[in-house]
Amino acid sequence: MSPFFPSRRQMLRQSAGGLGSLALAGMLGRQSHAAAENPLAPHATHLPAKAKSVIFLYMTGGVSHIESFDHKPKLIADHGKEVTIDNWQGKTGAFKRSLIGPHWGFAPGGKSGIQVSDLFPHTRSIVDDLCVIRSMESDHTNHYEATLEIHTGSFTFARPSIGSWVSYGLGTENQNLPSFVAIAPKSPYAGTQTWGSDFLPGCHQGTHIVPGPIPIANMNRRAAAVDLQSLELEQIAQVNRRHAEARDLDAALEARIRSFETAFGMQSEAPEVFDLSQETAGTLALYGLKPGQTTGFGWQCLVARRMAERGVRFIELIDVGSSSNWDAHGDMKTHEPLAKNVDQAMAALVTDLKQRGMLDETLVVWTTEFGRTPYHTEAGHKGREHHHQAFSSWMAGGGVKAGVSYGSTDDYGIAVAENRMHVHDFHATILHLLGLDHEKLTYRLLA
Amino acid sequence: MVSGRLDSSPGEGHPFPAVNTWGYSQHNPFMAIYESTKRSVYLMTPRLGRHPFLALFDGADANASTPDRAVTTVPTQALFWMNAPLLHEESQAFAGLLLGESDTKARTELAYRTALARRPDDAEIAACRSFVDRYRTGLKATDTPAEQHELLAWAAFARTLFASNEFLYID
Repeated sequence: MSPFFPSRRQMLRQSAGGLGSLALAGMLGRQSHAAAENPLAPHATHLPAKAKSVIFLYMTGGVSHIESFDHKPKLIADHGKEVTIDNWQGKTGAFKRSLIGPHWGFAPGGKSGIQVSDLFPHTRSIVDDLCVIRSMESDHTNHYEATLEIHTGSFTFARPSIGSWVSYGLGTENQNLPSFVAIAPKSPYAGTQTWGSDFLPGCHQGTHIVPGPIPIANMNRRAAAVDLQSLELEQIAQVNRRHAEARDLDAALEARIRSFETAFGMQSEAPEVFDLSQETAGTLALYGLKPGQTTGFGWQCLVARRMAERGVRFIELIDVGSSSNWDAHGDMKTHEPLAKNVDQAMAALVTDLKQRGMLDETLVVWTTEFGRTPYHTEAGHKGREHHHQAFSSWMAGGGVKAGVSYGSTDDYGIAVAENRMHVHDFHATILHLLGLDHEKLTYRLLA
Repeated sequence: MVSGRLDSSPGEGHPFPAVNTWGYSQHNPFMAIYESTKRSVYLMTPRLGRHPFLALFDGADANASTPDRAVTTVPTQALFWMNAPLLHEESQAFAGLLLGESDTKARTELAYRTALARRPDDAEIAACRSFVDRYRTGLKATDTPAEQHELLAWAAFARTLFASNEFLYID
């Protein structure tokens, strides 16, 4: 555009007289609030916040509640007995089913004596730091829908993920790193919708980090030398400043100039987050990691702690993908390697955060999309089907009461008996601990 | 487009695997991404995922009606302009075109006319000359082959144009 002719943007701004100056005043007013310029700048909370960041551990496929955190002595006693249930995979009626007792033993952990199954011995050892929720309830029996619901609250339409809402509501402390990350070796059932921002601005979408040597796309410098890249960025900044000076007070142009500075910072900060060489041998051993290892749930958990330390707001860890997961229709024994993959690492995460004095401000959440049926059509069957009517989760740190269990199911773990925690309540609780009122956290989409 | 590598022909069928080889289920979802040098309107739109490029630059969500696109400016986008293989490949292709001109002034003019649809002013030609000279000198200290230095320096200049706000914003 010739410097002698006003651009469309300048024309609107300068020629419209009264209207233009009103609009400009409005824009300046908003600019004084940093968030208008940078949607990721930290925002004030609705309520006093107990937690500053969230580490969300998501187990793919549906972890059996009655073989993890929901101890049911009567189910053990009545193994093989026939029951009539009124809801089968969301269909109502009268269905005769055979009760199947748990395949693993239970034992009380810590001073609280909360029962945890033998699948999770490490988690049992830190159970005094957890609030175990045994009354979770979801709405859909399929993986895809239930995965969406536990992440977005909706099992029908695409909606923003909980991490995107948190990023939108709070912004983030470290502008050199994404506000919301999803560290997942494989794609879960709902793919990128799991961490999608949907109708919220794209900067709130989860950055997918794939465990391995290059976890963030384009994070490594491609220019032949650092000083050559600086030379390029200097030139870009100079050209952009000259361009912006001719178009005064344009926040979009300013924001883009700044994004290059941040990206330059990210190139050094992001690889540093993933560099575990400065961690002590003791810390690596706590997480069950070998020196140089860049994969596994232990790596994911340790990287999550390093991100929380650096001010990343919402860190989601997904254990496995949409196959070979907790979906044990055929044989419950498949829970064993999956539990082994996560148990030590997640206990280490809670312990490590506590030792560093970070647990008070870091909320650790453990969940799955649904539980598994305490019964089967076929007596003595080795597997279990999907069960969204009741399942278990836990939370730790971030202002959550520790060493307690919340809610319960009936004698067999079939339905919630008291203190129902629907997925929506679960999300509202997470937001509340972060100082966000779920009824005030809204986004004006079309109006 | 400015690098001359955009294929402007209409899109054709995507290289979907033969139907009889399909074994897709919710446990093994269809997640393919097909790269293309044609216009992005011809990219295959997967329902379960998002093309990584469109996800990075606020492409519409294929699962919802999108009357108004979100506009974001985030550092992961800047990382793309700085380090993405695509940007480096295209900038070298563009530099190859510029080297067809004999002197710095002519190359700068071709670059500005092609990328920004205007002529550079004298200050801009001088800034370009200084940038390319400094970059060429800087390359000597790296392990890049000497015969590529001219191309790499102009490719770097091309990237500064591609990353500029003037290139991105129409106004």
